[in-house]
Amino acid sequence: MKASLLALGFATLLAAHRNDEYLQATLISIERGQIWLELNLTPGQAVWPVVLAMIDTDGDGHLSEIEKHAYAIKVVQSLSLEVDRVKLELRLLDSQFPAIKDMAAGQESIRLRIRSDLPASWAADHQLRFLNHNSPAIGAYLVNCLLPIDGEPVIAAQKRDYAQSEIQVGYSFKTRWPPIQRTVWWIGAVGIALLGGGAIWFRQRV
Amino acid sequence: MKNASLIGCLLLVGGLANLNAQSSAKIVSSADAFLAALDPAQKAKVLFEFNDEKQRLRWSNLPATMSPRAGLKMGDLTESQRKAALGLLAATLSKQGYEKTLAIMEGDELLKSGSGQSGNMFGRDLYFISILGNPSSKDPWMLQFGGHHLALNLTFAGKDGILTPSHTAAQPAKYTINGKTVRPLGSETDKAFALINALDETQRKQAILDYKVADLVLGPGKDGKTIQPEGIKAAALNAAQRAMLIDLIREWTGIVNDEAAARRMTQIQAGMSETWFAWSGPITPGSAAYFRIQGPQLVIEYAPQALGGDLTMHIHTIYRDPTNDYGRTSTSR
Repeated sequence: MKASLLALGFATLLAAHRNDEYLQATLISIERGQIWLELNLTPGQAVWPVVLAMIDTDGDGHLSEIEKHAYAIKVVQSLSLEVDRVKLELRLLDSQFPAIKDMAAGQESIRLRIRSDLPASWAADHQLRFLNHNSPAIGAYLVNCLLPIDGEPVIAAQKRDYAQSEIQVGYSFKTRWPPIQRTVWWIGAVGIALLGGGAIWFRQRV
Repeated sequence: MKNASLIGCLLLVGGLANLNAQSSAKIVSSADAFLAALDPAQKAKVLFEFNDEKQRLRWSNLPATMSPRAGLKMGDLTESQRKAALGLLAATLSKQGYEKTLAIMEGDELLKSGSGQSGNMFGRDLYFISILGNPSSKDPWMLQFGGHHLALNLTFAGKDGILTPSHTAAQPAKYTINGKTVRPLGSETDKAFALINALDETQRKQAILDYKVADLVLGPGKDGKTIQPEGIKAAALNAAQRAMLIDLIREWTGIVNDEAAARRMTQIQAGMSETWFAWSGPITPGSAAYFRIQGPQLVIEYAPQALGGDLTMHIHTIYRDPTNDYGRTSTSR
């Protein structure tokens, strides 16, 4: 068998996976009352020493739970989430760090799950803005909105910067009020109507 | 055999001549023939419970040395067992799908021979085959075949042959073998560039995203997620452009045998008006660009990989059905 490569450098062949970028992929899930962020951070082989130095702050070659948590918090602090121009607090729910050897090989991702609670709002239409400022010198970014399972909210528009470190999303709920608020409103309205009707009936009787 | 080209052995593998007359019975008999060729210890290794979720999800774009697979390793099979394994693949896939599979594996063999010490993570011996459930024309079962740059997850449920989720990739994306140029993902690449160039200026403005897409969004490990579609809707394409889009989609749906592929295309075409085509990158043929096709029951992504070299020489793709990955809907009926 005679096989050869066409126009291919040998060094390129050796890199079977991400190399000189720190891929940071964010999936945004919008629900009534809260927004979920799922971040997958994949350091390439060539940039792994840079990322390792940011996590392994005591430089002992071992990632302690404290160091992992501190790095996860640092990443969260480099993110920004706004809805209707109001900056939201981001809460780190969970972080998963693969083994050092797997990350060093450019094949495994650090996973962060983040939640943000939304203030109560009667408005149907909203604007979300998300920014990722983590490690911009080596970062390659992806950011996408997940389609809601129950069809709400409807995502009307998405606008990103070229690098995808920023996204602006216009979304709206078809039903203005969340089901629970709607139920409370109807119970209240029916109650008031019944009370009013009862009072009139009582006055007429008296 | 191990040193011979797998593409060369294509002609030796039984079953290919009868691809047009495939049926679930033929696939099952090929699976039975493969299992009959194994000794008890190998059989125990290759067979899993149909409900084994851990095994079902054990696939990746990465080499098996980095992301361990289970099942039987091709390199551990005898020549006749390997032939039976490839015979099963040939029976379940189309001619085009089988050739693509072999071309991807052959590219990996080339990586091995060109990578010195680190070559032990590549090669056609490092592909794994596994079966979940018992091959049957009635009861659901699954065939998995994969390794570096390849993950075929085939769920059979009666007449249905569901190929989602599956991952095809190529590195190198172009090589020569016995004087012949091989491009494992060449057809999808060429058809995609032809389609984007067939759009008029207004259509292209809709189709081309104004941002860079660095990788697959819904690649391995992203099961059960659907993103907001973007780009141009197929409803905004003329008949010729729509035919080109359908032809492009066939590069993935057509990996599986012709009967199953035809059923899948009927399903996809029913949702065509809600199918989107998005592009990121230059449109000059031969350049590195990302594209995504997304419909109610379809996600296809194609992403050149940034590894510090020529992006066009390393490509990853993913093929999904957000409503029926792993045949979950078909098998729950």
